[in-house]
Amino acid sequence: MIASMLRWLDDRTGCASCLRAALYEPIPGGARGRYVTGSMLVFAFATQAVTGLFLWMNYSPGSQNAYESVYWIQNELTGGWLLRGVHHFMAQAMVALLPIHFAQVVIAGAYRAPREFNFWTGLVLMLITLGLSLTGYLLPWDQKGFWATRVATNLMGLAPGGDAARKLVVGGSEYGHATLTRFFAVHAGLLPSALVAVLALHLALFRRHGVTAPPPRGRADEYFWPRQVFFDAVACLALLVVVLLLVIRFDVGGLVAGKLDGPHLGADLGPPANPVEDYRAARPEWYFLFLFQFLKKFEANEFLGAIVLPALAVAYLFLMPWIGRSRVGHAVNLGTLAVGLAGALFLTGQAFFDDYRAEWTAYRPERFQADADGRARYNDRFRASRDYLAAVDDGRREYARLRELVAYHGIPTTGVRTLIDDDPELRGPRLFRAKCASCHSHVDAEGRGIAGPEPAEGKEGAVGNEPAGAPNLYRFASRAWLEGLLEPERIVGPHYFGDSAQGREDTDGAYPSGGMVEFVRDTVAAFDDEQQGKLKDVIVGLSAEAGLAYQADADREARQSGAIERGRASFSEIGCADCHEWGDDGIDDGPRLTGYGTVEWLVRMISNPEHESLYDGRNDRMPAFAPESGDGKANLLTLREIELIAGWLRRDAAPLPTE
Amino acid sequence: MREPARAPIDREPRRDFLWSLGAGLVGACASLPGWAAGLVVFLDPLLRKPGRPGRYRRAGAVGEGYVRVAAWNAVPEDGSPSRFAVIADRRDAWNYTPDRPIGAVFLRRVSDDDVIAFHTTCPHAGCSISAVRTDGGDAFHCPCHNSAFDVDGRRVARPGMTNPAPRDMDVLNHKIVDGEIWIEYVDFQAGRPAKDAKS
Repeated sequence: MIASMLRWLDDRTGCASCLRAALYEPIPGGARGRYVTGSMLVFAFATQAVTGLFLWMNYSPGSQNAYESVYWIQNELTGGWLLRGVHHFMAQAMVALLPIHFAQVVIAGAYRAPREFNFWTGLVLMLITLGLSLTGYLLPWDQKGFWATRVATNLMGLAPGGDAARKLVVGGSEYGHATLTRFFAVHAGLLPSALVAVLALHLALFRRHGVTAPPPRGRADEYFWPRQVFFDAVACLALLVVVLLLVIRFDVGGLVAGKLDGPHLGADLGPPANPVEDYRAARPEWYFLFLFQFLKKFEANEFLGAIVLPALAVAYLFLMPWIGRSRVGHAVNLGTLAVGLAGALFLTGQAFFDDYRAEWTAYRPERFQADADGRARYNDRFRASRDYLAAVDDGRREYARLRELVAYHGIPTTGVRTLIDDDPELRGPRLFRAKCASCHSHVDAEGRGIAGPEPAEGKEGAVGNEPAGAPNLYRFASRAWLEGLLEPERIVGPHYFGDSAQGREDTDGAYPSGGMVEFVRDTVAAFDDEQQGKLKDVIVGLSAEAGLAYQADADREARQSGAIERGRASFSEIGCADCHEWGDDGIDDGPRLTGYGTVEWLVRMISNPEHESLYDGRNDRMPAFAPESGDGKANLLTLREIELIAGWLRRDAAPLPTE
Repeated sequence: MREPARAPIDREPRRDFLWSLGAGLVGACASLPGWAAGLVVFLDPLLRKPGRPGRYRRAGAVGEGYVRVAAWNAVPEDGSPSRFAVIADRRDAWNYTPDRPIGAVFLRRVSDDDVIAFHTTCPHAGCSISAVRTDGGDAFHCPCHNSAFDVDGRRVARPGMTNPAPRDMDVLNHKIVDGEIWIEYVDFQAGRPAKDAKS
């Protein structure tokens, strides 16, 4: 019954005979393990087509949707991380297999007549695969993909007529919706269909000419089916297992225990594309790193390094069948292949080493004691590596914070960037770095954080050397911060006024621009034990004024024990009220301390330190970032931006509840 | 280049069978996981718990699922039906948008202190019903396939036509709190005699 149905089908379609022809292809010398690479590549592509199709059902190109939909696939959809992980790592496996398959062909001399076209179609397939990698890298619209694609398309602009080509690829001058829709159509439509067409040709030609490898003596010929198919299937399964292991980052224990966590779930997703900030971890995918590194050697002539030489290399590949016609030519091809692969490996290793130098090696500038140039170069490279690692770290932090923000707010239609740009914890330090860090630092006791200007150590007293620093604002208004401020030694140290005009001692031992410094250095230094105790109470009370979230428990205790009341009472007793106003006490000469350290106070200070309640007429050099109300033209920051800085300084952005 | 002639290929059915079995099994193991991963993601809408409120959805002030639709004063005094947009928090795949129009209801005063609320979706095939004023006794009319309903949402036959609706218009639960009308907004499966909420 079934047999007759199959016969009916075969009579009309010829499918059985077609299958028979496909499976009973004779292999001279029989099935061999080394013939599997081609099938593995076909398998990898098929997997990409299947996983890609299902990703397509959930992906949305567009600069406010691409990252968001990938985020959704990765974090919300059932099994989305697995699907995305397989697609991501199978792509890498495919690229890794290409040179192996290629080297086999060259070593076997399989490019020679009559198989030239087979070889050329293979090269075209290789280029298409690389094109798929390049276009796929952009689609998540994360920092890595965004910047790598910007670089790739900018380099394209170097070629003759490249400006127009770049515009066509990008879909205009700016990177945005049109870039994504174009890349997506090329990645999911144009290139895969081209690949299928060329692959069909490649396989047909392969069938026409058969396997090249010289049949081993004494082994009988065999058909493709079943032994070679078995070998191929085993190889493909092994490839899949490796890919799956990569997807879970080899955390088999976690998988078995059912406790795979975030970083072990599939492909990395970086922070979303941000065209505003510099991104020091912009790198292509690892298999393009050799080109990236190669280009570093051509800083003076990028056109040569990025376009001419790679184009010549590809042209050479296409000429290989002719070059290899003679014995000598074949040897030249083999040599070139070996040098090329070794060179690519070396450059890849070098690129990794350049990035991880600071992690893998100790900082040892003393090795270059005699050689100033060498030391400068070494320092540069070390700094670049540190920057890279810090940027990678920042990216991870940003993504982790983004997950909290999304869990709390959901993703608005304007995209995740809106959440990031309105979050004190993420935006605050960026604004601080851009607007405040030219004077202020923000570093903890171990020196981690945002460094201010280079310390003026050793420069002191030099003629015309203006002090450039201002206090370290790490945990500003906290008890610890105020304690440091009120210590005679530390107030003129590097974390307070040591590098600003207030902390400059004149020849008579006075501080002409720093009344506060003089007070601490003279009056506070001479405090007896009782006065010291009162000072402590003032610090506790004043710091509680800020209402800092991270100090809430201590503040509550102080309120209960009466320390805050005592602090208020001591405020005038130990002389603070001679210059400062706090509530009903004191005079408004120095900055008013009512509401000290609150968002409102900080906003007033950052907006205009010259405000009558602050450093009225005695401001050192701090700019007024928003002297005008509303969105005045003289304002360097918007009110919201100032609030974000203030919120960050106060560390208000505590982790948000996740449900 | 001429390749040397080779001896004809021997085939051993018994040995071939084992290799074939192995090739088939291993091949299936290699090719299925990609499909499986894709299908799981494809089936996500079914795997999600039905009816689970969006993670970010705020509970209505008067009860879970209730949204404020209109002020009492906005509903016509003469008892004629009037259409109101339902504004609620909407989850659209990855996006979450508070206060977006997600649908509409008809409200009609039935007494001095109560209303009746209808879903605007036709129970026949899911088109949008219009409120009309006709002499034929129908107050609601669906423009797609000529379903017609009276002011109380009951099916009525229009002259010379059959009414294709399998049930009366869908009435929605409501509460009136402090002069505001709140609706428990639910979508129902069209085309069936029973009023089943869509999962």
